[in-house]
Amino acid sequence: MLRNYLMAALRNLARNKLHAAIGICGLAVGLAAALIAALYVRNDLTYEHFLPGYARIYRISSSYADPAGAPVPIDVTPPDVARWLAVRLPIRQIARIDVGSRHGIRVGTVSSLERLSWADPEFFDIFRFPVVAGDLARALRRPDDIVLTRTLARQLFGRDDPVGQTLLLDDKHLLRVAAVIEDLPPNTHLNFGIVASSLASFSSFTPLDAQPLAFGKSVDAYTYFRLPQAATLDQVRASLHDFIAALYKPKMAGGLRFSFSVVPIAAIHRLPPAEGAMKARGSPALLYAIAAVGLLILLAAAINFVNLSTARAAARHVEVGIRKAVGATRRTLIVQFIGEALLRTGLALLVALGIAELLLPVFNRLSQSRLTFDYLHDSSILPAAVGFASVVGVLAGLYPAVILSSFRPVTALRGGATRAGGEAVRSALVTVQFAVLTGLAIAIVVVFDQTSYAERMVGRLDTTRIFAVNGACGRTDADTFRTLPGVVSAACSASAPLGYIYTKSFGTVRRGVKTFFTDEAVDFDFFELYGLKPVAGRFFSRDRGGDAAPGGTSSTRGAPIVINETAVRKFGFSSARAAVGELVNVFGPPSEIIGVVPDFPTRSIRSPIDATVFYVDPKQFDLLSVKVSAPQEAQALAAIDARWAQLDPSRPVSRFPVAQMLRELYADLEADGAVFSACSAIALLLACAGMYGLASSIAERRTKEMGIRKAMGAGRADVLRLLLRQLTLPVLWAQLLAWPVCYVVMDRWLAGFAYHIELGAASFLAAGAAVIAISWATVLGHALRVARARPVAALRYE
Amino acid sequence: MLRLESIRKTYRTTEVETRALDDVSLEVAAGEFVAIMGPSGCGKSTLLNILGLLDSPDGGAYWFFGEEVSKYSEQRLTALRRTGVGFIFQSFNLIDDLNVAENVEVALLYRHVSRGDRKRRIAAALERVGIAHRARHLPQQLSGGQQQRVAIARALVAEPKLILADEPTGNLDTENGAAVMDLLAGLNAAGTTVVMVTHSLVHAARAKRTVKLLDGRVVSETLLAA
Repeated sequence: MLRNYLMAALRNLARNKLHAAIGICGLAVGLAAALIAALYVRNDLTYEHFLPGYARIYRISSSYADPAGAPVPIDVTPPDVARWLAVRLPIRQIARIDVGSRHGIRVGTVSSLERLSWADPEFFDIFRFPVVAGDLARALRRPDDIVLTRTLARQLFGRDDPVGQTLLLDDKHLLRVAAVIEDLPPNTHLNFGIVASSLASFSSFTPLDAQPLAFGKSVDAYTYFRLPQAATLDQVRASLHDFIAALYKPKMAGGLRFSFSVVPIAAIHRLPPAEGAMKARGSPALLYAIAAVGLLILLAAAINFVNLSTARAAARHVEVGIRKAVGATRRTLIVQFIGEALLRTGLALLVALGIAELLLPVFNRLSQSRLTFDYLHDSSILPAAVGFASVVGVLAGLYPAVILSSFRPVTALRGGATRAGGEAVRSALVTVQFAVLTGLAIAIVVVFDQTSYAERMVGRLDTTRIFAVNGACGRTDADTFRTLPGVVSAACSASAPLGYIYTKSFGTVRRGVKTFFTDEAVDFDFFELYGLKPVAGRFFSRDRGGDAAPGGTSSTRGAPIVINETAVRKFGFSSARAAVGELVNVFGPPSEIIGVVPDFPTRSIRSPIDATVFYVDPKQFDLLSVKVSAPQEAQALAAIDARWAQLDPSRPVSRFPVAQMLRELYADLEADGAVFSACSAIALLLACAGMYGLASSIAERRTKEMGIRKAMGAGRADVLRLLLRQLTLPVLWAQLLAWPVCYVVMDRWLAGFAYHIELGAASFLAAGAAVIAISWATVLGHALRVARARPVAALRYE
Repeated sequence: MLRLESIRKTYRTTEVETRALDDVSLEVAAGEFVAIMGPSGCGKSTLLNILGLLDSPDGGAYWFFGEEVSKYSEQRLTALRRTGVGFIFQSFNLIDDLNVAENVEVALLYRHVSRGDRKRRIAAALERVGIAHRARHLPQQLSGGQQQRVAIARALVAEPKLILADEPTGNLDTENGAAVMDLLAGLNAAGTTVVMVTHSLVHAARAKRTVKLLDGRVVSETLLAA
């Protein structure tokens, strides 16, 4: 009997290849999309879970606000916070790790430039990373200890366990590898290169720790602790409050507020963006969107599949009638239909796994994630997929089985009562699918708009063929490079335009204006090099000797300054023009504003642009910006590298195109866009399949009606209009469904950016029009066929 | 007003070729009531479809109110059909999703009749076939006889010069059949040309002329005393 059923099922599949293929592939695409979405969501929900005891690990974050402004969160704290807490609370496992900077590293004869962070010895007591080699528990206890990741170990030493071997830091200090840990997984907020012990006499913490606890120490540290049973978070918070009261309150300028917060590390990933974040945070809106879309795609695919199966089964009423006539019971028929449906969902699941495997690398590249699909070691994803496929299979078999098997044999044979119903259901389904599609289409339009907006923001700087050389200006001046062949221009700066250091000043810049601002030292030709034009006033000029005066507290006149547009507003000037010639107190003695430069972003587009004060101070110069000419680019770059080698033979040159660095400011935005686009492609496929199904069922059902109408004198256009109107209705409903939801979601997404476009009706209308056009393209074939049919053919259809 | 000359029509499937009409010539004058008879498959319905411009012949010529239409495009046929022909089918061919009045309205929708005018004419047509009290009912709520009356109302509402009826009484009992024949006779008496396919000798006897078909050919024409 089983064999008979199996044969019937397989032959049915073989006979209806197209139908079977549409059904199975549709479900497979849905399952694959849902699998990937589930991986993404799980990855997002399991941040830091790989760390033993992650639930008891906390980080201390800061925030500050001036009297007028909203609090600005910062992920780092002053370095003394850890020392303060360690002596006041029974917390032994508390440690700092600094922001990290690039250093010259030499192993044998090979030198390279690597990021190195200083960390307290307790760092690896808190973070018990999976160990590749060495004793992590004792690492960093010696001042010359360092810890590497597996990739760094391979890169520097060519093997996984170089424990005990040494490397040379900045050609001065010998450091010893104490342990090697596994590479950090994608789902952690942590991001560091080489970790070296803060006990080293040359660590960034050592000189600061030698001084008593104080206000205004410059190095910023990420402060972590593991909460012991003996202490409570409230105690920690109270102690942090005391820290501010004892050290900061007395020193802070009037109105400035400073506070700490304690965050479980698992929650860091979902916090709003903050300054000094180790790694760009995920966007919760994107997570919700992917989860929702994955779920909806899966639902739509499943309903599509059940629908198709039902319609298919209805055509088999003769088989059912005969089986009943020869004595099949309801139960055997139900078993048969469910079995067949399970066979098809099984096939769909296999195809889905294949699709997921193929798409995952693409998805990873688009979303800049590192998801893996591991059947053997993954205990939840595959069983969930199998379980879901089974449920869909049973449902797909159950409905037709119960309906068909309930008919009397003669009714089934006549096929009288089997007119495929459920058109309303299918119509509703198509509405939902198109609502999803519309939502995604709107998301794409908005993300695209925001991305090009960000590009335009960044594009205020002309970075064509400009290269930045780290540390060059600390060793010589720009003239050394300006005369090289192929170099068009060269200018120094402290760090602009590649992000400023997080320290900010706060003070009374004018009578009644207390505010935060950042200052940045730039060369005379800096703004010109980047193609900026003054909004008002002028930029620094070599010809005016006064411009170069370094800002200091000793003279009675501060250095002349150029401020940006944000500073114009923050400093309370009515316009850029009004600001020029005014005096402000940014360095103590009053400085004259000689010009205003347009705002340009230096950090993630999600962060606001600071009020910034620019001045010329060669003492602070470090970064060199070099513009090279197009025909001589290679020659110029070689000359730059050669000149660097003369300046500092101990470290390789750190040179990179500025455009690429700035592009990273909105890379996460492009990831969002890519993910939305990928989801849309799948939703589009399914929505079109659903629409196609609806159109074919409507066309089938209304063929006779259209014949009658044509006999009554309806022309092709009349028939076409009628069919399109009916098929467009679900799509229009979909718009109504999608728009409000989309408005809320995209509004929240945009709120994550300090500078963003306004949500306009245009994005919604454009997406809606595109979706309607797509739906028409899908159904036009059916509609045209019906409209073109000779009326007699349509009437004879019965 | 209708003239067929050597009309041929062949249906092909991949395996079988069926000659539905073979050299049929026929003339129908204005105001006539013609019955077409013959066994199943002799080409009656095909002939009616060609007369009604629902289908085009493969060969021969067809003058429809003086116009030779055998080579006309579907579009031009639609235009002619719209103004000149009303249809009555054996299986009624009412649209399931529309109620009685709306079904009748379909015949006026494509003739640019104003809304008020449509309403008035629908009411009159339903009155004439005696089904006005069922105007808001759906087809499946009506008996076969009632459904066919709706179909007749739909055929006459546009006041066509020609009404084609394909076995209008085929699905009806004797009483309802007679009633439908009364309606058709009444329409003819009022000046409308009626061409009707029927199996029933009794109903054929109501016509003024009977054309007999066999295997796609006209085998006899009988003029009945009116």
